Amino acid sequence: MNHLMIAFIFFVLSVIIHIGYCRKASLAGLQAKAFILTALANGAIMIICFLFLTPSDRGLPYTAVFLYVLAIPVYLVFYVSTLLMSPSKNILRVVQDDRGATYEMILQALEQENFIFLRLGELQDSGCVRRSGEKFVLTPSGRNIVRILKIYQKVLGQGPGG
Amino acid sequence: MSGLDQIIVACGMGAFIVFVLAHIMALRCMPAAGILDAVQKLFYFGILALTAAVSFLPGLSVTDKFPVFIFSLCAYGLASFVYVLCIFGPYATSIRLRLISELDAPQGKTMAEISRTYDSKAILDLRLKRLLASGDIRFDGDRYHIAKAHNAFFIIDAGARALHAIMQKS
Repeated sequence: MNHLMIAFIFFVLSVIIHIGYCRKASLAGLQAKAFILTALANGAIMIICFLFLTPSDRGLPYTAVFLYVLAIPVYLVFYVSTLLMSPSKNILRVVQDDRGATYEMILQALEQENFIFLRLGELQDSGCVRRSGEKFVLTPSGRNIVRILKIYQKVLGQGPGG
Repeated sequence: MSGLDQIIVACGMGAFIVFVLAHIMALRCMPAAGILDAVQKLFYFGILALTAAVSFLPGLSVTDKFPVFIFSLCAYGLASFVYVLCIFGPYATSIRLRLISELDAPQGKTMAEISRTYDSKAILDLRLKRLLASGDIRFDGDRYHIAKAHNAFFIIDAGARALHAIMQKS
């Protein structure tokens, strides 16, 4: 149980450091890497702390490390959601009105956000897509993602999502 | 590594593997619209499998089985949450991944060429089908309405908004 308490404290500490960093930093955009580095550094300190605990039959060091590692992407999901607007969230916000919303009203709200243009820009920024005149072309890293995506599609037996 | 430690990690991972395999098998024989709802049901199936596995574990007392169940449930829940939100969710719903698939042509594509197969209308149609299938919204013949006031989107959105408020400079 001590291991779990220590893992929990180190995870909360990582979140507090990240929140503090985001409040202080004047950098635009996501600071996900900052959290990953903080969590990894804290994880390493946590494992060192485990070595100093008295070995016991009821110690759960692997469970603690396992839960700690899994909690990192969970926090990142919430963190990324703070800055990104998803189309489904957008649809639900429009539909949330007491009188509901027609198909045209929802479509108009989606077109205002211009998700395709926005996401193409993000893909260019992340280096997956480059502009070649009027055309958008995949970069080598974009092609690698397509390869993985095709394998996953074959495994699931589903077509492309979106 | 204590015996309980091994059992917790093994049970959590075992239930997660059952969930992933069941979800692959289910998705191979069902239409795309119902996949999010199916994933939710299969998650509960994983909990049932975990409960059964822990209750039939030999050589453990009832007082040992309770923490084993609770912590392996946490491990299973977190692993499934990470898989659904970081791997399966983006594959099924990400506009970026769909755009990358659309651009998989030797010469690339112009915006007009992309719009021929994937535009705001396609984005909306896909999402309305999924939200209707999962029961998050309902259609009365003219308008769409919220059917579940506390669905996953609103819960994650509320968490994200709270986090965003904390992160804002005072």
